[in-house]
Amino acid sequence: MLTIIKPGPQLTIQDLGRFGQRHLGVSQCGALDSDALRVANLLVGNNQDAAALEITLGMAKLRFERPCCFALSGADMSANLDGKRIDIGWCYQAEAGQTLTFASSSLNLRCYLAISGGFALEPVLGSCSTDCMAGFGGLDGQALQAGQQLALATSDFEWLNWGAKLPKRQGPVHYIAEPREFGLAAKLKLAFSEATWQVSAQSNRMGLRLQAEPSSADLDESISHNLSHSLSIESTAVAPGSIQLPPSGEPIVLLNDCQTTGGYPLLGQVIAADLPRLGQLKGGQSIAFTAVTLTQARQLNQQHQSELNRLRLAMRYRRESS
Amino acid sequence: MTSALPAPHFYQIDNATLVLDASAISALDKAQKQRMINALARQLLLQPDYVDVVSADQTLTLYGRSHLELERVQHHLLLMWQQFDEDSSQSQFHEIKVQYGGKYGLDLASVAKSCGLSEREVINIHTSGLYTVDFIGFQPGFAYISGLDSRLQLPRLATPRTLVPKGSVAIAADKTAVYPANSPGGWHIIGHTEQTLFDPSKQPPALFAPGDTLRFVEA
Repeated sequence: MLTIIKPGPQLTIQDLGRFGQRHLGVSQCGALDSDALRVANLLVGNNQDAAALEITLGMAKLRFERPCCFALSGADMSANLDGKRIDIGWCYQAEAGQTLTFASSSLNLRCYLAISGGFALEPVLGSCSTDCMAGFGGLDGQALQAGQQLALATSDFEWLNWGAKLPKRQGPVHYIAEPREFGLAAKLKLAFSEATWQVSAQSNRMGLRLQAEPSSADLDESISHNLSHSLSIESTAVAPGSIQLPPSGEPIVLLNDCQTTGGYPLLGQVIAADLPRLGQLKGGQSIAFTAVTLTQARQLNQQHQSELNRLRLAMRYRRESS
Repeated sequence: MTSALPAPHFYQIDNATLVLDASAISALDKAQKQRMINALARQLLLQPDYVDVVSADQTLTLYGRSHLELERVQHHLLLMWQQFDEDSSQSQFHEIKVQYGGKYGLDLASVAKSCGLSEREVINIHTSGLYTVDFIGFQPGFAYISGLDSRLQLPRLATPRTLVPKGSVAIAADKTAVYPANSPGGWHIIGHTEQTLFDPSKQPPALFAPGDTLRFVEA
């Protein structure tokens, strides 16, 4: 059992998400930083798609009610276990009654806590991810509240003194430009990729809202102004990574909790390899986008995938030989 | 079978996502194109190559399990498009019982007024139509249903309500809809149904699928 003493701003159960139901209007959901979810799970001997806790911003406090192995990945929120510093990307043992406390991170937004064996939860539509909008998945379809308890599944994983790093992630976010016109002028599409954007504090699990950088106010005012329009389009399918341009001229990069269809013109699609990074961006942080070709996108995605595969195989080898 | 149906456009959105876009086909009417898209969607959902197949207004988006080769998929889809057979579509028919007006349909009076009709006439018109589920979006099980009589077509509310109760039967523009869950919404509420539209514990979880047809009957 794991007791939620304090959930912080948003504490949810997430796995890799819900697939195969989009035609019924069901969102994908799932860990925003899927890289971090995978790494945390691998560190405690779980399948990489097992459900874990997504801690947003920090300020959470949890108590282990029975011994288990656990690992954190993603944002370093200066966590401690009964006062002992817990590093990101390392496997630890907890005793019954020990408390895991999260402070916060100045750099990143989301931290993942995986526990050996995972949680004893019934999947809904093929996933344990919490869909807070629709109200299903997770424990009761909502973010976790103080006082709630999560049952842990049994595990035969034996503690290993090991760690693992996330794949390298830096530089501009790559996207494939939208091939449909939607009535948007070419210069407007160019303006999007030439600007540096700032993540708005209004962002959430549904989407990353972008604003013009205030540092160069004159220029950026014209960027937002350039991008504003009065077009509305027929609803079309959207997915995590779709870049929407609402009439305000302030783009939204859709994230995992987004709806399945949308009525705003689209600017492009962030490549799969760069999606996990987006879930770590905090309000006020800067972000720039670089358009890539399908061939480049395929290479970048394969590179990212093979880094994750190498890590998974190396860890399996290490586990089998220990 | 009609030979040589006009071909839709195809777009590659990313390595694993393709869009079939029928919006530019002027030789077929909108309803016909939507029927073809939804018939295609039903067949493609059964194929293991795709994780998700999402119908929307005049478009069909395919999410591949892995890399999708535009030319190969396009060829395959065009064949299926050409072989569209009106009779073989596996859509279901639903009858939705609705309590109209009063506390069940907060906007019935204003809708009647705006349309220059009596409340009774609005109900009679709404219950006389045969409707089609064009696609599902906005929230789980929320169907965009076409076939609304032109006499009932109004723009959405200027200010959306923050809470539309689950089961609300509503209209806006050329569509009608039933809210599967409590949610914000800007459509005109004319009635209420007890029918469950979405239950994640059921298979399939949604009552309506794209391409289904339905009638509203007064409870």
